[in-house]
Amino acid sequence: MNPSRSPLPPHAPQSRRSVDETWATLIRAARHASVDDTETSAPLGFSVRVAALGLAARRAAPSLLESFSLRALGLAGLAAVLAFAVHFSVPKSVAAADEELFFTVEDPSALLLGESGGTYE
Amino acid sequence: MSDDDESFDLPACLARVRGGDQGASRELVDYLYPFVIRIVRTRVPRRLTEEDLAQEVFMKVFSRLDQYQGAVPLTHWVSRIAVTTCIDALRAQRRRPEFRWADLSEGEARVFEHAATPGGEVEAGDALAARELIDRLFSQLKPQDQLVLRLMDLEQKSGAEISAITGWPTTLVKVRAFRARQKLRKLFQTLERKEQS
Repeated sequence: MNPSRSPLPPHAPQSRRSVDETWATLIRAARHASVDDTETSAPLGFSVRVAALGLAARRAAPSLLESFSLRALGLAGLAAVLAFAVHFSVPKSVAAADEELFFTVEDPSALLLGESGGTYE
Repeated sequence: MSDDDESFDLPACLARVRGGDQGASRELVDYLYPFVIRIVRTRVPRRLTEEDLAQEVFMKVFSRLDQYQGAVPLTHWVSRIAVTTCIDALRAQRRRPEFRWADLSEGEARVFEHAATPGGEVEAGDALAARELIDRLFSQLKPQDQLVLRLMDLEQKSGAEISAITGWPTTLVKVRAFRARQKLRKLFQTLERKEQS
């Protein structure tokens, strides 16, 4: 302990107050150093400046309809991207199977009519 | 806010502010400023610029004015905005270095010694040092816990009053106060260990 900081004489007892008692003593003392509450009027120009800034912020803020519309547009865009991604991410095996089926059958109409060829008798 | 509060037509002023009336906006700021500045002064340490914080509070009040429907008094609504703004400011300051005995000023160390000694009292002239030591200890707490303890111990508010000011449930206020005191105990033990080393 730094002796220059200790206000206690060397023979002072080592007992200490409890934390709660020490805290209560400090708080009691701190309350006397009350916050300067005498001056509570706004500084010169504060009201004018803050009022102007506040109104400007209100004018710049989007309306509820605008906010909703922007969000809806965002969601619609996201849905479009998802649909695009799903469409082009069809598994290759499925795409290949479709392609093979299409090109092995000489008569494309057979695809529609089935194996029998759809003959009418 | 002064004795001629009753003559100030608040609903009409709010309606004019919502309509973009500059004069009404200035009146609203003048009306609320004393209330806001008291909240800011008592909830943050002196080193934070109270005027900047007050301006931030008013900017939020103006931007959210359409959300105020009159269900609670305007001062209650503004109080909650001011409290959360103060908490945000405390949070922004939260890069706390380790709390060390060596960092205390002579006055703060003297005050702590007197307060910790049985039968000791802090002298009237050391009230400011006591306040600064308290602020330093508070700065080690989480912003919400710090706020609760400031209101409870420094301003002697009840749990119900703190709940009304902050909007937090009373049980949460009690939990934060308990947590803050636990942390303070550890800080005191740290201080006493360092002091004796």
